[in-house]
Amino acid sequence: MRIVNNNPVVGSRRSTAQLQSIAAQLVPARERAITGIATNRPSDAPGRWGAIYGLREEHENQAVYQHNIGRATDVLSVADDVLGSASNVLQQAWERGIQLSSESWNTETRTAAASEIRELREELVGLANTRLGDRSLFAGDAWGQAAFDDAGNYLGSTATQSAQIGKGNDVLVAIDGSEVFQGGVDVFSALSDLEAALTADDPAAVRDLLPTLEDAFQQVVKGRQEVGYRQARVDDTTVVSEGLASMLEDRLYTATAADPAQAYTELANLTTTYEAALQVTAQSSGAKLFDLLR
Amino acid sequence: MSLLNTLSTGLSGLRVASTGIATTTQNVSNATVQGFTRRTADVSTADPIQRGLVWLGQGAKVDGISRAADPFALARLFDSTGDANAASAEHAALSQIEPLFESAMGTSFKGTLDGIFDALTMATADPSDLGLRANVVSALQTFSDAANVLGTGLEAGIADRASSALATVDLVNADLEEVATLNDRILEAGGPGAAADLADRRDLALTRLAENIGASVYFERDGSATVRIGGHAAVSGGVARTVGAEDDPLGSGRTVLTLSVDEGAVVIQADGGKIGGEMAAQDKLESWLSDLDTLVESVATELNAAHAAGFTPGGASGGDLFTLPGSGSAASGLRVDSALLADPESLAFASTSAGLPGDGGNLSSLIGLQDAAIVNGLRPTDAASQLVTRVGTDVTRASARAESTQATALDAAEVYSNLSAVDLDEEAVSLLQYQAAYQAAAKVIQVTDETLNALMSII
Repeated sequence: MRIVNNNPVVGSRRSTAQLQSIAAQLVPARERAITGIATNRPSDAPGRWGAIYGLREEHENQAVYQHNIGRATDVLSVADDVLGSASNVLQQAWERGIQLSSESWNTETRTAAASEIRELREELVGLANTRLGDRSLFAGDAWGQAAFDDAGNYLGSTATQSAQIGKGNDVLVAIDGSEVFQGGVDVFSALSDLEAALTADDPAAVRDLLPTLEDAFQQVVKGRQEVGYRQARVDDTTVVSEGLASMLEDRLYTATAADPAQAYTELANLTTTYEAALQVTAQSSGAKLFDLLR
Repeated sequence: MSLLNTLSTGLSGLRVASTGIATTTQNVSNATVQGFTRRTADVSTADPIQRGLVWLGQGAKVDGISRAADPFALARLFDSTGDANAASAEHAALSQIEPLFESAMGTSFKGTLDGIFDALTMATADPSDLGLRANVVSALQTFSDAANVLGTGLEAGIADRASSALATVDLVNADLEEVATLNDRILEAGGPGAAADLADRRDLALTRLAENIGASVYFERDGSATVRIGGHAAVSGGVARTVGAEDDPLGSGRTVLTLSVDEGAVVIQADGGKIGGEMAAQDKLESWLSDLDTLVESVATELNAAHAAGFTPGGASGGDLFTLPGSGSAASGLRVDSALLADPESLAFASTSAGLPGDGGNLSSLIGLQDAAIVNGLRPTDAASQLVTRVGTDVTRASARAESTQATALDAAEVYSNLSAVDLDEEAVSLLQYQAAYQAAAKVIQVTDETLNALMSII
C-alpha cells in the first residue's frame, strides 16, 4: 500500500488534526485543574446534573432555614427574658400579697404597698408591650402596634406567624399576648384587684386574691415554658440543619469536585503530549530525499 | 536491426525519460497546491515493426499522463467531509449557548429559580421586614434577568444559525455553477484523463460543496460529475440548478432550502455540511427555547395567580409579580412588574386585607408552588433541572458525533491522500530514475553515433 510520507499539505493536515485533538482535551482539563470542579457545564456530566441540583437546592435551603432560625431565636430569646421578668414581677406581687394578708400590718403599710403593686402592674404592662425592633412581641401578627393599652386591654391579634425552619418544620415567631397574659387569668386585673384590696386596707380580700395571683404567676411561667419549648425545638433544628448543611456540602463537593491529583496529572500529561506533538510537527519537515540529492 | 533504427529507439527512450521528468516536475511544483492530484506518465513499449521474419522493437512510447484519482475514495471523502462539517457546525453552535444555562463562572439559571423560593421562605421569618421583601423582589429580578439572557441568547443563536446557513447558500450556488461548467469543459477536452487540471478544479469545487451542504457526488461513465442535494439532482452534466432560501410554504415560520426545478422550486433538506449542521443546531436551539418558554410561562403565571390571592400590608389585593410578553418568547420578554420594583410593599404576603404586618399567610401558597407539578407535570425546579440535563446530553451527543465523524473524515482523507497526493520522496526517486534513463538513452545515441561515425570514416 502506498503511503504518502513527504507532502507538506498532507503532513500539515495530519499534524493540525492531532494538535487540535489534544488542544480540545486541554481546554476542559485546564478548566478542571483551575476551578477544581469537574462539572463546569451541563455537557461535562449530563446525567449527574439532576443529583447536583438536588444537593444544591437542599444546601441552599439549609442556609435559608438557618437565617429563619436566627430570626426565630432573636424573637424567642427576648420573649423568654421578658416572660422571666414578668414572672418575677408576679412573684413579687404574690409575695407582697402573702406578707400583707396578715392582720399585723397597719393601714399606712398597705397603702404604700398598694402604690408598689400599681408600679409592678405598670411594669408588667410595659413588659407585655416589649418591642424587638419595630415588632411588638406579644401582639400576635398585629405586631406594628402595642399589644396592650394602659388599662390592660389586648390590642393585638390572636393570629400568629410561623417561620419555616426546615422541610415541613415551622416555628411560631409571633406570640399571642392575650393567651400569655389573659389566657385563664387576667394578670393585669389580678394586680389591679390586689392594689384595690390593699388600698381598701382589707387583709381578707388580699388573702382571697392569693390563689388568683398564684394562677397568674403559673400562667406566665407556662407561657415562658411554651417559649422555651419552641426555643429548644429551634436549637435542636439548628443542630440538625448545621449537620445537614455540612453533609450536603461534602456530598456536593464529592459530586462536583475534580480529584486534584487526577486533574493535575491529566493536565501535565496533555501538556507534555501537546509539546511533543509540536516538536514532532517541527521535526517532520526536516531532512528529505531531495536534500540528499547532489 | 539497423543502427539508424537504434538511433530512433534511443530517441524514444529520451522522450519517455523527458516526459517522466516533466511529469515529476509538475508533481513537485504542485506538491503544496490544495486539490492537486498526482500525475504519472503512462509508458509502454512501442509497437515493433517486422523486417522479414524478425520483429524489431521500437523502444518505448508515452501513452499519456494520468491522474491518480479514485472515484470511490473521492466519493467517500465527500460523504465523510459533509458529515464531519455538519457535526462540527452543530457542536460549535450548541456549545456557544450551553454556558448560558450553567457555567464555571457561576451562571445558573436553575439557581435563580431556586432563589425565588429561598427568598420567599426567608420572608416567613418576618413578612413585614422591608429588607426581606426587597430580597424577594431582587430574586424575582434575578430570575427574570437570567430568563432574558437565556431567551435572547437562544433567539440570537437561532437567528445566527439561519443567517450563517443562508450566507453559505451563495457559495453553494457558485460551486454548483462551477461544477457544471467544468463538466462541460472536461467532456470537450476528452474526459478527466485528458483534462487533469480541470478535473482537479472540479474536485475542489465538489469538496467545497460537500463541506458546505453535504452534497452527494456520482461520477458518470463519461467522466461528468452528478451532484445530488437532498436526493435531488443539483448538477447534471453541464446544467446546474439553484439552491434558494424561502419562507416555509407549510407556514412553520422558518426559512427552508429550495432547489429550482423546471416547475418552480422544491423544498430540500441539506444532507450535511455546514448548512446541514447549522439547521440541525437551529432545530435543537428552537426545542430548548420552547422548553424554556414553557417553564418560564408556567412559573410566572402560577406565581402571579398565587400572589393575586394575597394582600399587601395596605390591604390591597396582590398584583402581578411578572408581566409576560403578548407574543414571542416568554423567556426573553419576561419582566418584573414595575410597581413591585418601585415598592416592595406591593408584595402581597398577607392572607387577609386587615393590614396586619406579621400576616404571611399567603407566603405558604407562594412557597408551595416549589413542590407543585405546574410545568408539564413537573415541579418547576425539576423542569429546570431536566432542561439543563437535556442541554448537556444534546451537547455531549453533538460532541461525540463531531469527534467520530471527524475521525472518519480524516481517515477518508488519509486514504485519498495515500492514493492521490504527491510524495516528494517518491518524486525524488522518480527523478533519479528518469535521470538515469535519460542518461542511458543519451549514451545509447552517443555510442550509436560513434559507431556510425566509425563506419562512415571507413567509407
